[in-house]
Amino acid sequence: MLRYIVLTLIFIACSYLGITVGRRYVKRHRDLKEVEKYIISLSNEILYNNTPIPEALIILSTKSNKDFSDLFNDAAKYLISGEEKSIFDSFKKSYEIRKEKFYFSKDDEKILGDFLKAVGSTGIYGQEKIFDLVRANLDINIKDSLEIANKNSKLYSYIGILSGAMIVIFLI
Amino acid sequence: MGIKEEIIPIFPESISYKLLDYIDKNTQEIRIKVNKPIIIYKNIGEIILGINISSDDIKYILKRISNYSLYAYEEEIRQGFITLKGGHRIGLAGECVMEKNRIKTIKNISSINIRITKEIIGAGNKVLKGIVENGNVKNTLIVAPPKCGKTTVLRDLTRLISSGNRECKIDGKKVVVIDERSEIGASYLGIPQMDLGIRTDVLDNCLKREGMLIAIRSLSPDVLICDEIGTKEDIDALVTAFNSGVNVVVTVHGSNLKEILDRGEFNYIIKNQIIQRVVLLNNKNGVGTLDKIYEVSKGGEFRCLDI
Repeated sequence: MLRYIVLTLIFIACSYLGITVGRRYVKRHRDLKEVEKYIISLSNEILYNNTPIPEALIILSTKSNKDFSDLFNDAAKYLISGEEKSIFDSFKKSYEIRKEKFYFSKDDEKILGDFLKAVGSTGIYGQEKIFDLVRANLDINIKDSLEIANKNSKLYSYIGILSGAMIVIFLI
Repeated sequence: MGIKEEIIPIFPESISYKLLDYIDKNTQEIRIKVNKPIIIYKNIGEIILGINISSDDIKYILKRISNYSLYAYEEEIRQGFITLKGGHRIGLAGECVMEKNRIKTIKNISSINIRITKEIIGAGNKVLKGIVENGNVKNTLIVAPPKCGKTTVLRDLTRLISSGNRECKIDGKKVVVIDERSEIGASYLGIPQMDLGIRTDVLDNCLKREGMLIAIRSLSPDVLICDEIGTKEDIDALVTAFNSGVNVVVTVHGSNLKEILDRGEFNYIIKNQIIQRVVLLNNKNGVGTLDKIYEVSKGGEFRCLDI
């Protein structure tokens, strides 16, 4: 009896692992779509309302899901208090605290990092260009992430389930 | 918030803790230049601090005063200043970028001059007596050189006119303040941080000419308040306000009456009795000292009032 319970547990664990790894790609796509939405909101606040960044982040935090809301809120807090010296540093600190809740790739982080280094540092015309650039780069990564998600989420789920089944068969 | 809480956080940590001992309610200006020591001006004179400023320090200060958002202060930078929360005006100097004979922006900023704003309740009491007649506010031009308290007096006059004053037998009036540089009301997120009275509407960050027309069209003021008028457009808007039956109280840079009359636009509004009172201020006995109030009569004749 105990043997069957152990085998079942091995099968469930392997399947779970496969599905979890597969889900990471779906979540990356979801996070990128969310970021795109927030960048559009931020550009509206900056380009049309001339809202300064800390206030714009607080406004964004009221419209976003919990993880992003905390990310924006903390970044705004660091900026207002002067705890961090730049927008990039504020976001970096805020992001490091809750990094495990997001599924961005190194390339996504680089695109967003470059954007955060430039936002707020020029006049409106410059800001328009910066938003155009980040949205163009994000679009490419969103398309890629969707393709990868479609391919890899199924692949890793199958690998998990099949390797679980293989181990169980081998042990029987 | 006090002056320290408003000013100190804009400096890098390495400088701010040294400044703490020097900034107080008597501070008038803080002047900062790249590779030069900080100079603090107080009512007793200047203090030169042994702190040299680097260009990185200036960049940090700029980020803090612009709230990390230079785009939000583009127009102000073009005009050479940014107003800090609390109404403190920060003058900027650097390399001007020109476009079609107009300053497009200022880059490589190397000098920053922080002028401390002070709210002095009662600063306008004496002036109010001279500009109110039969419960009505006369069209007034306040003339003073820089750092003599024009804005301080104007702010207190706004409060007195808006809330009413028994001593001067004036009921509260509907007042609109066109606060182009956020210095009168020191508005933050659109809400004035200074006491401007209970019947005052503030058009913050608004060009004077545009603001005066908006106010006349939609806010039905009894009195319009404006700081530092000077251009022909400002004067034209002032005349429009006068023709609409709105009283105006405005300030202008100048040392004496002759200097103002030599300027064509002002000569016109005084000679045509659009301006009915001219108030001269100086700082002989402290900021906002009342020197003289003149009544302007027909043909632009002046009579010094006994206040």
